Amino acid sequence: MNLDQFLEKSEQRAYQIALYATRNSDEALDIVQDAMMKLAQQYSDKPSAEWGPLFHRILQSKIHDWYRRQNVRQKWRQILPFLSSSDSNSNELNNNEAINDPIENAPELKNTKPDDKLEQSRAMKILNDAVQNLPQRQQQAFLLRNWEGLNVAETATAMNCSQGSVKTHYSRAIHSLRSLLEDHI
Amino acid sequence: MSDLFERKLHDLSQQTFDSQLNTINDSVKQRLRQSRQQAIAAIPQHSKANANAIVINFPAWLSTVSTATAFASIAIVASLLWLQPEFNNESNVSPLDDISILTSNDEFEMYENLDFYLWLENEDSAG
Repeated sequence: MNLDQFLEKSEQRAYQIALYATRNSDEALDIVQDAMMKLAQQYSDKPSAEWGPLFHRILQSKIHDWYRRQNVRQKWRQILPFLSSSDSNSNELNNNEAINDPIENAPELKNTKPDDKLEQSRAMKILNDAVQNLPQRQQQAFLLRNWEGLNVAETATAMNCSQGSVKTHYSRAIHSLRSLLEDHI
Repeated sequence: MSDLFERKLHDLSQQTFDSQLNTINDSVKQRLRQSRQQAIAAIPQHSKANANAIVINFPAWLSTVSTATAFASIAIVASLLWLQPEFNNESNVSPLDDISILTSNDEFEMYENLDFYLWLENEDSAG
C-alpha cells in the first residue's frame, strides 16, 4: 500500500472522528487536511505499517489543538461579548447538517423486523447523540477503541497520554453510555 | 470487552459510526480528495520513492537467510562446474549414422524382448 492508498482508505473515518469532536464540517475538514499534510511531509518515508498509528497521533493532536483554540476563543468571548456575535454565526453548530441521523443510513437495519428495527434505530440515535456530547477525551478514547479497534496501548499512543488515562477516559465514557443505553440494547 | 453490555455497545457503535460514513456528501468527499492530493504533492522529493512504492515489509531475519542461501547456491553451482568431468563436444557418430541406427529393425526387436534379455542376464550372472 502506498501513501495515497492509505490516505484514501483513512480519510473518511478521520473526517468522521474530527466531525464528532468539532461538530462542524469545515473545521473537521481542516483538521483532516492538516493531519494528511503533516503525515505526508514528515512521515512518508516511514514503513507503511507505521502510518496508521502516526496518522491517529497527528489527528488527535490536531483535534486537541482545535479544542485549546476553542477554549481561548470562548474565554475572549466572555471577556469581550461584542466579538462573539459575528464569530458565533459562522461557527455555530448545525447538527442537522454536520452529523446526520444514523438510522436512515444504516444498511444493517434493512432486513430486521419492524419492532427490532425501531428499537435498534432508537439505540443508534441515542448513541450518536451521546457520543457527540461526551467530553473530548472520553469521546476520542471511545471512538478509537470501539470504532477504530485500537487497543489500550495504541489508543494511549494516539492520544499522547498514559494507558491509565485511556482506561479512565474509556470507562467514564462507558459509564455515561450505559446509563443512557442499557434499556435499549 | 468486560460484559454483555460492552459487547452489544461495540456492535451498536460499529453500525452507528459506519452508517455515518454513508452520510458524507459529495462535496466533502471532493474536498477530502483534494486535501489528499495536496498532501501527496507535498511529500519531500527524497521520500517520494518510498511513499509511492508498494512496500512489502519482510522480517529482518529473512534477508539474512536469503543472503546466506544465495551464497550457498553460488558455491554449489561453482563446485559442480569445477568438479564435473570434461565433456567431449566432438561426437564420433555422424548424423548419417544416427539415421541408419534409427531405421534399423534389429534394435526394435531387442527392445520388444527386453524382459527376456534382462532375465537371461540375471540367469547368466547367477549361473
